[in-house]
Amino acid sequence: MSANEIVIEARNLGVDFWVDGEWVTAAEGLNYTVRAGQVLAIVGESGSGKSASSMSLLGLLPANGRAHGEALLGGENTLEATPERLRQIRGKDIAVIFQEPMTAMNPVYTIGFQIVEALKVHFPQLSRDAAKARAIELLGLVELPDPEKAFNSYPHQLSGGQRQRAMIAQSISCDPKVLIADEPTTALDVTIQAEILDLLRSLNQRLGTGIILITHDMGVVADMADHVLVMKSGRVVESGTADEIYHTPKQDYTKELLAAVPHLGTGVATGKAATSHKGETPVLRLANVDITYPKRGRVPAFKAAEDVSIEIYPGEVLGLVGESGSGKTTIGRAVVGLLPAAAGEISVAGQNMVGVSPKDLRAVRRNIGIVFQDPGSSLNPRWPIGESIGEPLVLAGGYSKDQIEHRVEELLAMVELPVSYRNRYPHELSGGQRQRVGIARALALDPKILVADEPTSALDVSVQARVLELLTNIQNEKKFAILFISHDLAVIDMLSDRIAVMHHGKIVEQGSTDQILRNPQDPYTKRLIAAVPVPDPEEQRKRRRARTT
Amino acid sequence: MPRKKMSAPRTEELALSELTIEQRQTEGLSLSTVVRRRFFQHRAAVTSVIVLIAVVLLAFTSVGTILGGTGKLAADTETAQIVLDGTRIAGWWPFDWYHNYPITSPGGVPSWEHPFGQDTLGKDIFARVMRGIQQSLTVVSLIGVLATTLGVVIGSISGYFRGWLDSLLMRTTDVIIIIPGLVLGAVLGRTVGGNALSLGILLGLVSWPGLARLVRGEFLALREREFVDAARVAGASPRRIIFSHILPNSIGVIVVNATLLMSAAILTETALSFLGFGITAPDISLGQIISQYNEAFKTRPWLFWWPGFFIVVIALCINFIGDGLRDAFDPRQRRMPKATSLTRQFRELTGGGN
Repeated sequence: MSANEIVIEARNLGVDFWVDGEWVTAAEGLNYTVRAGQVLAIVGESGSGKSASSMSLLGLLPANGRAHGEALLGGENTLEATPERLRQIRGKDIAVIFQEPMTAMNPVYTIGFQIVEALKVHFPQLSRDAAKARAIELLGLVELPDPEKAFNSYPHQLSGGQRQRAMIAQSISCDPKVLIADEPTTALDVTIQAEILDLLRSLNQRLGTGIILITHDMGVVADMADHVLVMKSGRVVESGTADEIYHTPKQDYTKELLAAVPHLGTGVATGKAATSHKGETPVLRLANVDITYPKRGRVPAFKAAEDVSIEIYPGEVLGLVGESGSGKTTIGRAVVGLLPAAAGEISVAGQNMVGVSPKDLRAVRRNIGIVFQDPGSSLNPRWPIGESIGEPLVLAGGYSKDQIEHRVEELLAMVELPVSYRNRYPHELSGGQRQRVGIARALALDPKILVADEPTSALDVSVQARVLELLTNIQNEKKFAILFISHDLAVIDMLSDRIAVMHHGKIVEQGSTDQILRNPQDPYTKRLIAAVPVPDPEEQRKRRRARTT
Repeated sequence: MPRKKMSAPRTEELALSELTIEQRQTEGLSLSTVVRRRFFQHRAAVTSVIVLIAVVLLAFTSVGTILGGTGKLAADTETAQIVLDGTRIAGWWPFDWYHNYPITSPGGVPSWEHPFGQDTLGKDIFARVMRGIQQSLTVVSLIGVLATTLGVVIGSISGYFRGWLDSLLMRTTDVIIIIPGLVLGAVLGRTVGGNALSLGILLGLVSWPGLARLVRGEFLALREREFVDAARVAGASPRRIIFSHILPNSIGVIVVNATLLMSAAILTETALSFLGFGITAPDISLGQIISQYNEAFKTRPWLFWWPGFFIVVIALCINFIGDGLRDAFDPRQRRMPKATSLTRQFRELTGGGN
């Protein structure tokens, strides 16, 4: 493969879906070329047609989808290829890395088996031993610490980042000309995201594969992409080299997307952290709290949080940051009483939560609301959202039907949803709207403290910006305290007065937002700060160099 | 910073712009309206409802029924005729299921007077089949109601509470699951008497384990969902969580399995009665008719056709209704045309090209 050979070219590519009796355009008029060793980034919100158009290259559209136009793979139009030919192309010429490696890999086979399988399909003459050797070589290539061990592991035995590496190993096993990476890092922590992107970058340079990187986050692609294609509602809004897009964006939408990426150090809360809280009672106080998951069968008891002490004062936002598995969600669940604390003291608005009687717990619950991570699962799919929002009021008792109706309307207006939406079901709303409903429900009883458990990590960057802005506005108006849990330091920075950093179940550092971001003491905090993506190619390059040296 | 309040139409417009095209088309309707509308769009289910109602009406109005009493035959001393013990409600059909009539056509072949034919003793097969349908339907509904209630309650309790309660209930389920229903029905059916009521209750009390297992599985999965946590944080009691949150979400599994259970029940009843353990003479069930006439298979095949036909019709109707209910209860399901018609429509759209 010569360095500048065109590996895939889309000419007027479009995708339509058959929805309720009519054809709806998911994408149209896509023109792009990917050369060997280059990275093309397709950026857009969910529903912009970026995934559908890329999957159409492989003939992997759902039954109600049809592609038109031309997709030339070495002069051959894959849109017109027979199913047999498509099977040859898949994996060998065009390979895919999916978003969620846990579901993209078969949980009942070992990693090694799945890589060998991919090899044997496309190279039937390969012997078992040769395939195994090649698979181990590949696992080494993606920088897995112990390739031999990984070969014999099942997907669930690896961590999220390792699984994504294994997934990449499988997809490059047949030396594909084109690699489609569909949101490859969305499901991963920030620090791991950075590592995976570094890996993709180095593979791209070493193997000369053309990469199509699909993402909604302008920050992710800043230092990866040679070309960027910005899509909105199925159309290409803007395309150009990375430098052009990042430094001189022409379209408003591109500018919006760039602005939506949370930057470190631009938070609105900066500066007001100096307020002293002496003499006030904290709305939430955790003192030396231990939380353990009890022993289950042969699985020993697991200490998810150890010696955690935090205090949140009225009207204050505390950001709790850490990777998955650091115990931050455990803390959130314990605060709202979903998990018992093994030791220490949790008090909400002066009421101790440890060993509380059901009657007292009810009183505490009026003071506390929680917004969950996954808006798809946190609303009862069989209930209209109006009922979901009103449920805390019904359960708290003492409200008449009219009062509840009125309050639901008020809450919907507060989260900027039309009142007519109260009869809609969760699946009839977009992800961002669902999360706003979640916020409305959490605020139904005017709680003193809101626990927000990664409320935006399942959302697109642009939607996230909208939800965060809304949350900030409501908080400014109602002045409740927030325990904001997130893995994304930039998001925390936007909202928080103070930050607590969690690592392996312990709080490693705690302080005002300025303190933590400007002058981090703990090496883990430093690593976390360095990993936050910035929508600026030069800045990203600088940071990467700093990371790798 | 004071927040600017948006005007209502602006909010509406903004909210709409965030939705996908599919989502825009739904208008907020109440759950019961949605379910009813979707159910009536399901052609097979609606047809089945109509057919089933027709069968029930036909069976009960034609030969009437009998309430109370032992159901045993007795001689009425005043009229010197054979009657059944109990309050007899007459129907519009001129013949009874327990009387012998003169044979009108040679060999008892179906005729205008006896459309389903007659047996060797001159009994009217139409009347017998109608009575059989009544009895079989009684048994099936009893089994359906009892087994579904028991299965749902036991399954949801063990799935929701887990722990020792779950172990206890599930081991009980295991014990009941290993008892062959046919044998139990045969042994107990004899001792508690061969009528439809006792047979239905008996079979209902042993047919719930399968459903309980499935409901438990659903509950185990659903109780981990965040909306259950959200309800718990809001202070919902276990009772409320089970009945308002989790149960409506497992209605699909429950409805489908309840209908499968009922169509299996009609076959169990038939099998028991065929073996002579279920509903016993002088009363009649569909299985019993088949069993009684199994020697006349070659000479008078209509003695089989009709009871067999109604067994199949009832079982199919119940299954289709279950399908329709499941589709109607699931708000996420959408109708999709077949792949071939899609391709055709796409060709038309793109002007024959592509």
